[in-house]
Amino acid sequence: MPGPSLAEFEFYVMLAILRLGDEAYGAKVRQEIESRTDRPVSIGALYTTLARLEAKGLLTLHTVKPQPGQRGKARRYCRFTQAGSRALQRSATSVTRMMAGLDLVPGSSR
Amino acid sequence: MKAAPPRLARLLLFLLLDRRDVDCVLSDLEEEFEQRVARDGRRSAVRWYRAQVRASAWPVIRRRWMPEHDGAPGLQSRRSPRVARRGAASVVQLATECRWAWRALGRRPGARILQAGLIGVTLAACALAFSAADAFVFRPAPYPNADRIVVFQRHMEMVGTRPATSPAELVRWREQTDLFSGVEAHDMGASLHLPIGGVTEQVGSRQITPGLLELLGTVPRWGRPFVDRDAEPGSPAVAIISERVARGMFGDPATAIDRELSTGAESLRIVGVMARGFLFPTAQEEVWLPFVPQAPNSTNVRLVMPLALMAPGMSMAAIDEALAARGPGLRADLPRFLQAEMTAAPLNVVRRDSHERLFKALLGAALCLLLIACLNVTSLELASAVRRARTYAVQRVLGASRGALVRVALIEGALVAGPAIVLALVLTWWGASILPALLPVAMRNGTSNAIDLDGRTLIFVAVCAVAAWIVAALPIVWRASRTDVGTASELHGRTLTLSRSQVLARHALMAAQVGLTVVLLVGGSLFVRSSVEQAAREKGFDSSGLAAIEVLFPGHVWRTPAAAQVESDVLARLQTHPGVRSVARTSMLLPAARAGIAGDLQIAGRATTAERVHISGYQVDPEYLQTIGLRIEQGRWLRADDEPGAVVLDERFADRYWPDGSAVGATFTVGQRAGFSRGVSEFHVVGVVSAVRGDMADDERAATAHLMYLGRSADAPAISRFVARLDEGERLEALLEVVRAAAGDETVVRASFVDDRYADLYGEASLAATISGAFGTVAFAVAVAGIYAVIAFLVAGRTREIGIRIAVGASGSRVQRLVIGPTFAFMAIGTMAGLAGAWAAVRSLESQLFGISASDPVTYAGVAAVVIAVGLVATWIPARRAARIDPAMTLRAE
Repeated sequence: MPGPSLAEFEFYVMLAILRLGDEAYGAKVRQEIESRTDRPVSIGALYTTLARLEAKGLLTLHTVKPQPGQRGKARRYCRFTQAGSRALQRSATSVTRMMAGLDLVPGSSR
Repeated sequence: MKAAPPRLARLLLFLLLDRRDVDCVLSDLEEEFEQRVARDGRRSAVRWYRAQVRASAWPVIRRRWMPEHDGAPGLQSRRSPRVARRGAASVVQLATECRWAWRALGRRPGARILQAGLIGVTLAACALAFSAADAFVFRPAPYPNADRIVVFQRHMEMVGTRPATSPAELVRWREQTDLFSGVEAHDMGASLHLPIGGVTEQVGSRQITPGLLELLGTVPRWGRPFVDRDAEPGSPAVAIISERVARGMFGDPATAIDRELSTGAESLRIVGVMARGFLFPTAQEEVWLPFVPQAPNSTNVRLVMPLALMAPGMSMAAIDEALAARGPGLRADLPRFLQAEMTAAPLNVVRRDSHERLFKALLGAALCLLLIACLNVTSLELASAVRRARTYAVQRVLGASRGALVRVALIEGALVAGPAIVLALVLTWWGASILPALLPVAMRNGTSNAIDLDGRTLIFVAVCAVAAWIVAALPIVWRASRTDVGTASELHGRTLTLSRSQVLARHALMAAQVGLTVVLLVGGSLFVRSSVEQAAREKGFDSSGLAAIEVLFPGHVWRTPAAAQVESDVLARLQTHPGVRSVARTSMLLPAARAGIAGDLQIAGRATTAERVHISGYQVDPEYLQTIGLRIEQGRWLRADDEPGAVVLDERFADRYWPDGSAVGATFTVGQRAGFSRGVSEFHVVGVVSAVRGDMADDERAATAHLMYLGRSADAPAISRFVARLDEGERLEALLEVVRAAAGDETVVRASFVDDRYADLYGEASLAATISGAFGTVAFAVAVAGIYAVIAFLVAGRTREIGIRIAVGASGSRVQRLVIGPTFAFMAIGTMAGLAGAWAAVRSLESQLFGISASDPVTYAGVAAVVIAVGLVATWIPARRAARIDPAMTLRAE
């Protein structure tokens, strides 16, 4: 049985997390999506999506806060779960199959 | 230094975010904010931050309050899931309805802005009128003991009822300890020039008896009140000042105690500072000086203004009874003019009576104006409601509840009322800051309350705003509440036809606007005509460059050779001062308050019954004629060698009793009393001069008031008065310095231009004319615009009908009559109702009008004619358009 599917924005978030690897936290993910898709992304929408993905079991969120007296900012790091990796794979495969032979993106057709 | 994100936006996000996300989200935003500041500059970074907050608001609201809609783990609610779901749904629903209302508003932004502006301006007018009425009429005096303070009043035959008592009476009433816990008094003080905040300001002062502050129920916040020794002759001069003056001169009020206050004439030691908000007797006075009216056993007649504190358990009725019983005995040895019965009235009643009618009338006019504005908006919204009927019907078909449509309509009304309220508050705050300066001095001195945007005014604004909101939103709310799902199937035509009741409602609203406008216009016209009548009347003399100067001596100097010497010194200095063309002494300044004697006029050689008259007698120098610029009509002016009793009459007096022109040479007496100068029993007329306006003799209501001039007595004065003709450009301040230098430290010197005194005399009428005229003009413009809009809409609603009529042969003029006829009928009804309302409203203000009756037919007829004429023009324009409707196009459109 296939696992949970990804909506468009969820797909982008997962891709951005994949790119950023260990440095995948809120601000970085937001900047990554915004720079690559050229569409404004609000931090509120991003965190809502992260929470939704966590609820679906596709991500784990780990908050790191500076200790009292220490400098630095609070950050929420994102990691794929196994289910998340599989969901991302499935979505990517689906998109690739749908786009095959369509020549939508210059230089991307096979 | 690290750049900080905009605080308000950050705070908003902080409040909206789920508690678990707050730290991380704000940190992420801050991190990126700092990067953008470094890259693009602070302004760009701030714009980006605010855009992020705006875009994030809705998602975080959904996440926090609608977790089940989001599928994400949200805040654990303490409420039951069912309640939480209902609450969350309400929030979402409300937000959606706000969006709908905003969208509906955006379809006619210009009209909505105009409506908000119209309601805002009229709301501000109401707020200012209320604030002024509250200060003068509604609000009690701002003293803790105000409800137990009474004012002694004396009825003086020509002056009227005034708060006045002699020093001797003051002492005697103090001894009635069963009636009063305290009896104190206050008297006029001079204007002082003080450096406040680096700027020299003119500050009013007041002389008060030492116990007066305690009688009012207050004491200085810093320092101490006056004690008896402060007022004793020879004691160091002390003063109590206001907090504003203390802060302006010394910074911290606590440091003002024991500091010196230099007034130019003398140096005062500050012993106390009153808390901010203390006003006595009005907002003009900010320095209080101690004084004792007179030595205890003296019957000196310098009157002061008394206040008394009722003893515990005493009532006004008991005090009135005691005054009637004990009064005659207490004043038995006083001069004759002090024998008039004295009464007591509560302080709040006395303060209110003098301006009650005027301010209530102005408040009523302002509320009328607001009502006209609301009716205008309602009328326009009725048109909009008809157009919206189809929209509402479609929305009902799509599932919107009637309640939701009503809520959207109410929110839409609130979105218009909200900016209107903000505009009203801004205009009221600005108006309240300048209004006191625009009031006539006499009116300004009539209240101890400040005219400002206080809590009571805010509540009044809120109530009026809610009423305006309901009235403005009512048509759309009504339409929304009546929309049925079935209505959608009925609305298939391109034009909406109006039912008879809808047409009637619009005409009724128009008639109501016309009626209210007529009320305001009639009132405004009467006051304007009254004011013009007053201003147009010739004064009877040349007042340009004429200054009036008063020198008030301290009580122990009255009627002594020292006072006479000071008067001579002042006169000599004024006569030799460059810039003074002519100067003369006089016992009264123009325009004079009512004063003089009353008695039976008996003309020598006439057998006619003596007539009771009031006569104001000016004791003047021979130079008075030249200085004032009076014209000799008959006989001659006074001379220095005239016998005592030689008088010059004003022409009104002469014409009334010697219509054949034989006044010169006549002899007469007034009552049993020996004239104005001691030892004079008869008056002998040597001349007649032109009548002077603005004196009591000019008062048409006092037909037996007259004016005469006679030479000055040799007696030393209690108050010295001078009139001086100044060269053009000569400053009053220079004159004041000369007089103060001659008069000495103990005297109070006041000076003003006679033109300013006249302006103040008629200031109240002028104020009423200006305000009511402005209200009437605005109301007229709004009503005419409303008539045009309503008729244009009605014509649009009857396009099909008119097209058919034209198609079957109706002429253009017949079509115009069809449109204008009913409109004229309703305008006529509105006008008649307005005239009746105006007559009822203005009748009570008859006493405020000068030279014109409250039922002046010319004014009423003129207003009615103008309103109907302009209304017809406003109706004719759309009627003419209706007559040009092309029936073919109309029917093709169907």
